[in-house]
Amino acid sequence: MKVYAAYNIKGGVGKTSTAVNLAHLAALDGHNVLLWDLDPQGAATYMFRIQPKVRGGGRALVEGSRTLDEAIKGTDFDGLDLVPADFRYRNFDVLLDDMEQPTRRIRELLRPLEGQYDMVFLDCPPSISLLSENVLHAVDTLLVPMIPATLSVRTFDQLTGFVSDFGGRQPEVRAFFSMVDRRKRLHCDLVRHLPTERAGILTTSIPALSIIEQMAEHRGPVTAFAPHSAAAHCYRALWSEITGS
Amino acid sequence: MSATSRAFSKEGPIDVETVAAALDPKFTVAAGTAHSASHTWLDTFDWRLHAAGISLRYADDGSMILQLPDGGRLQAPPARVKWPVQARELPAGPIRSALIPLTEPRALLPVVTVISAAQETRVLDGEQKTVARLLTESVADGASQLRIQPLRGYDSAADKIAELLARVDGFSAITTTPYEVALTQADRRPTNGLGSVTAVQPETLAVVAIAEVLKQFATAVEENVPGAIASIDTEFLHDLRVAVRRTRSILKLVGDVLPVDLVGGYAADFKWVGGLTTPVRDLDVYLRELDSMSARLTSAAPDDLDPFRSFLVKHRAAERRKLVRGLRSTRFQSLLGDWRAELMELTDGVKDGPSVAEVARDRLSKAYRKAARLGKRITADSPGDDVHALRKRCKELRYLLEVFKPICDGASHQALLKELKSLQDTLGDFQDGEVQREAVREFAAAMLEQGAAPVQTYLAMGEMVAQLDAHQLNARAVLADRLQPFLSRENRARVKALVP
Repeated sequence: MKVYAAYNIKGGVGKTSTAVNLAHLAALDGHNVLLWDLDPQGAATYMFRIQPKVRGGGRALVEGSRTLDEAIKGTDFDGLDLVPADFRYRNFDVLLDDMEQPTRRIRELLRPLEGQYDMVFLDCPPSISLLSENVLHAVDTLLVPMIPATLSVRTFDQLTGFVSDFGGRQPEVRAFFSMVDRRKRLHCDLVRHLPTERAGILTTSIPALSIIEQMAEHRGPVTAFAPHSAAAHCYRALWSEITGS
Repeated sequence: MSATSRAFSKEGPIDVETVAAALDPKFTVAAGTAHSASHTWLDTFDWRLHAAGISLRYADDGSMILQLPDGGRLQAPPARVKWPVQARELPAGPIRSALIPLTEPRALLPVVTVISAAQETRVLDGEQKTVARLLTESVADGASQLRIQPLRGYDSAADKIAELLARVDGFSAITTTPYEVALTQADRRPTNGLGSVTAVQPETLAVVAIAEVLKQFATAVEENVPGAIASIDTEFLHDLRVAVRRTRSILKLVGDVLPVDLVGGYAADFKWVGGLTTPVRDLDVYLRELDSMSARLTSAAPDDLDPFRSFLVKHRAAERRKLVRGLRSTRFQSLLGDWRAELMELTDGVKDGPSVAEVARDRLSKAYRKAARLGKRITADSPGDDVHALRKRCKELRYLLEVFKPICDGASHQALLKELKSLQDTLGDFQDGEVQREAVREFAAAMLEQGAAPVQTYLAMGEMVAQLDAHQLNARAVLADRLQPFLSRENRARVKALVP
């Protein structure tokens, strides 16, 4: 079971769009896929028309009185299930802080699902916290959408530095540019040059397109409601680059 | 699992409007397009998936779906494999992980391909969220079936949908699975096991009952020949051998109720088949156990045994060529044809003779006495040949217990069989250890002659022999303990009470 997380310290960079569309594409390939919406805002949950509620909230999961298995909901798409967001996830950090091994809990919660899923996608809230440290310990690949800006590159460097300091298992970091505006020279320059200068930055980028913003309106992945759109094409290219297929 | 049926059948087609009306206003529906769907169902030759309540099928594009008995469903991308295959040859993923422990060493092979007109309709709640899928499909005789496929986490919605659809005129609840429906079009069907005198009464003439059992064994031999020739998996040959061994045992132990000339001639022929199939089966067992044995090596490295494995594989290929020649030979084909013809005529004109109950009582008792007599003489120091003789008598008793099971007292049969199985396991451990140890020595000598391996391999084989020795010593130590309950007064009483 391969675990991916859409993660960035910054908000509004396209994490949810990444997680939702890539999870949908993986399921379309015939894989058994689980998407866990860890963001208490619940945008991914909303897009799949699922109630943003997990019985017992984050506390029940962290303390172990409920398993992740019990919280899983089927989406409208074959092979794609979702663990919904819950507003109470905002207290995750406090709950995790009380644990003996506070940075390993997400990984432990996912382990029993090994026999059910080929891939898990985590849609993470924007922050650096105990929860994000948990995510970094749980995943095989960190997918980092970045808006092309000098500060984003600095954040990417901080993140790779943080991960490389991990003892033992380290996730691979795969960053890519998101919300790219081709009319802006800085965007074009960074998209063209940075992948050649920094290891871990993918060559595929996701443009700023209104159809991606319409995902909340359509309540579904753009790869499902507009499979022939330029946006869907870009997400497919991104998924191919990530999986090397 | 829900108590409400989640599948319905109806004469003629099922239209979406009727379904939508039945579900309104609680749910709405979104119908997909009707299409022709082709699915091929897979199982092992001995129906392991069917027995476990699991169905596995692939579509034309090769994508697979596995349906679990609890309603769970797994999918897998197109597997570019040429069926039949072993589960471990499938791409890694949950389907492969679920199948390996269930199916190995049997291969998965296509059972039946069904092409049907199908349509998928989504059932939506007030949020326009899909809560279940309805799969409608045309089946035989112009009838249609509708199945509710619940979505994970929406079980109560599926129950409600089932409750509403149960009220539709012309819908009748069904419990058959899609796999069972597909199997009605298959050439072979799952069986409940072979080789007992089913559907006979204690007073049935023994010759009639025995002829019936021998026909079942003949069928098992015939069915397994193509798979053994094609080497689809090792168990085709194994099952063929078991059916032959059972045939030989029945001819030996109960053959006197059959015409004398029949038994004499065929016993020799089936002995020939036994001998023909032994070398490949033995090599299959060595190769299967080599992995676990090499993992237990302490002083040698596991890959020290690689040349030994290569030698066995090469040797097996040569022996398999001989086996295939034998199974395709006129002698073997004539044997099957003639034997079947004899069995068909065996009961013609038979009007009297002993009943199956009389014969069963007598032979079970004799078989037990023979085994017990040998068993009493076995000690921890008995020679291997004596233990081997006991093992053969125990096997004969086991075959008789299997054949006569339907006319035996259930409780006595179950208890006696339990003791016998336990003893047989130990005898098997003992003798397999001895045979394998001798075989490893012979293989080592042959390899040395051919210069087929470096010295590390012979050292590793030596360690294997030492392990087999230890294994046999262990079996020897527990043999006396296993014999006691088998020889006990209670067990003797069970044998007496076996056939009322």
